[in-house]
Amino acid sequence: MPADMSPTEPDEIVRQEINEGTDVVVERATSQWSDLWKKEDYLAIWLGFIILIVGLLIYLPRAPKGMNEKIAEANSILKREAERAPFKTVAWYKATDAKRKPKAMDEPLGKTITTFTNKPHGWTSNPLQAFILNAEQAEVRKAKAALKYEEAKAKKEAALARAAGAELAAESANFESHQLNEGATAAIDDWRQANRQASDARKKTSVKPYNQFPYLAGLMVVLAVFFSVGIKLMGCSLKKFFPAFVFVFIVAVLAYMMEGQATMKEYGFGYALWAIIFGLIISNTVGTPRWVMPAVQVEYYIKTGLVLLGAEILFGKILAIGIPGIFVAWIVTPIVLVSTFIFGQKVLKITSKTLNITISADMSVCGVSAAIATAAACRAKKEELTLSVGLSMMFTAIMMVVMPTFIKAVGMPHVLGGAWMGGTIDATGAVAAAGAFLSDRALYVAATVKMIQNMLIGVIAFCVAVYWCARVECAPGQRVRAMEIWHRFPKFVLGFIAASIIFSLFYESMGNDVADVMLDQGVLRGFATLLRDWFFCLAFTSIGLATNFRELAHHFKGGKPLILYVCGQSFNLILTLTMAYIMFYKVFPQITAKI
Amino acid sequence: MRVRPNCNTTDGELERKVCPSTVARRWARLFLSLFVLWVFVFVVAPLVQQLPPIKQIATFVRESGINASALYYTGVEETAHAETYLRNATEYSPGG
Repeated sequence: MPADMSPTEPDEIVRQEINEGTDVVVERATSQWSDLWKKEDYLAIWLGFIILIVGLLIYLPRAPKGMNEKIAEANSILKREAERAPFKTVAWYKATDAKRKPKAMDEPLGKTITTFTNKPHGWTSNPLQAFILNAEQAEVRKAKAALKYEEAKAKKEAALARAAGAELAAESANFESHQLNEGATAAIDDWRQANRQASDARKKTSVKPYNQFPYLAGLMVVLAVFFSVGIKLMGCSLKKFFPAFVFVFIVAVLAYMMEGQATMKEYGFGYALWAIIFGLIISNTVGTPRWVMPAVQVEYYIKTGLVLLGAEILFGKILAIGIPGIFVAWIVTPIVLVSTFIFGQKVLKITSKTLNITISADMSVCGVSAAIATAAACRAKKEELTLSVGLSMMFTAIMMVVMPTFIKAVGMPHVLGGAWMGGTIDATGAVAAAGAFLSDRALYVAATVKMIQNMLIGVIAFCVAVYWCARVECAPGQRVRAMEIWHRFPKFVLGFIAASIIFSLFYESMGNDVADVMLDQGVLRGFATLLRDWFFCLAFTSIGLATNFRELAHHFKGGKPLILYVCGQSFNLILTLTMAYIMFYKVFPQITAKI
Repeated sequence: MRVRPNCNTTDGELERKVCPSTVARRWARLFLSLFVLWVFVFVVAPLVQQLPPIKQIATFVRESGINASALYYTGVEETAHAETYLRNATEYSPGG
């Protein structure tokens, strides 16, 4: 299927009829059994599930050694410490750290998979270092990082000694002195901050020489063969697809390379933006060569990626921060989404409903990932998705700086600030950065609220798909039957939802602690997510390669998308802050006290 | 390749032939675009980063190694830490 996400392509099984006796044009969609192996919606489901099954087969039989014992030991320490002291002790935090250590993806096979699917590395001024680092350069980096680590380690040890001393003093007073308890809590908080800094510094000392080219070449072959199955079934030429895929893959690699550039990383400008930019530059200057078009398969890549994203939507995580988190992430978000959409239709009179809902979802839910899912569910045009992604990236970079600065300046409590940022800043990475900049507590609340909001993508995509099929895509006066809705329904959404339900059930059956080690830190982060990122990168590259600047400018006419984003985000900021304050400080202060 | 209609070619030839001057213009546009991008990445963006509030956050992101460009929670290691901490803080809350 060509690169447009609209449903007007010739191979769509939608035919128009004129009703006898009336002049009403009625779109009648049909379904055939052969759709199961010929249409990209279904192919995306099959391919996505193949990856998920392979991931499960790789990781589930390979639990880290002693995982259950380590988790049980950590839990028993946590229980003991919770009963012993009225605050989180040094041992309590150490047990929490110990629980995080086992990861299925850290087993030998997991490490091999990570190396094989790795993106280009970080670099500052020499882009070649994104791909190759020789032993000498690695040594220089290592020595530089080691110096910082030694310094951070010394600070951490000193902070730990102070924290342990303060805790002992509080204990010697049977934890009955409020002053000593407060002093111990403050000293422990300082140690945690120093501990995180030392841990970050230590990660940078593990620099090894690398040559990413052979792995990238291998990954390119694997992905080309993987996608060629669907290409062949859709009746396209493999002979034309393979060379074209090489071109698209190389542009995708360049996008990842730019994501790794030091300054761009600090702004949070990710691969989605760079893939679109490089694609746009090529298509609007020298032109996208015709021979590349067979691999410019926006929908095919996006839908396969979205089925994988479905597996990351684990409903068991929704309760991670209790009811206040649900109110901030699951009540405010749909209100803002619907209000912004109505505002766009009624006040701004945006002509394209798909553009309106894509920007509304992008702004209210969680940025690019929500934009991709919503755009695919309502079959938005590729230019509309491009605009949404551009707006999201720009505002994310601004909000990542402005919000923590403002929160610090006005002295807002960090739990409230964290919840506010988690509910409003679009991209999850930027939320974590802004939260961590304030404090550990702000980071924990911000990242968790955002994660809960991430889970909303599945519900939003499903509702948008149903609403579009039942209400938006039918002619005025046309009655839509249930079968008609079924025919029009973007079937990949079913795969997306099924993946979410199946993985949520797995998650629940394993229990949170084991599921985190085996699913979250194994099948997902160690396999499915790595591939999903590549699929989205290929999709955004394809969008850029098939987009014309003039068409893009047409959608931006009157600056309405920008106005929609700004108005929607302003409403989001007010409502999220209000809800976070009410929930965390008025209705459930006991939950806030535990954080 | 996309072609421009101002070349002296027939419709059929448009698919195959492109004026050399047009080709040169297109390549010039490509290099100009890449140059503008280079200026943004290596000149403008680092300059803007010198503004105090931006500099503070940028330095923090660099030193902490947080993946600020991650699209989803699975791309950020800190979300896993946050979840474990909050779950423990609720299940094993000191003082009940």
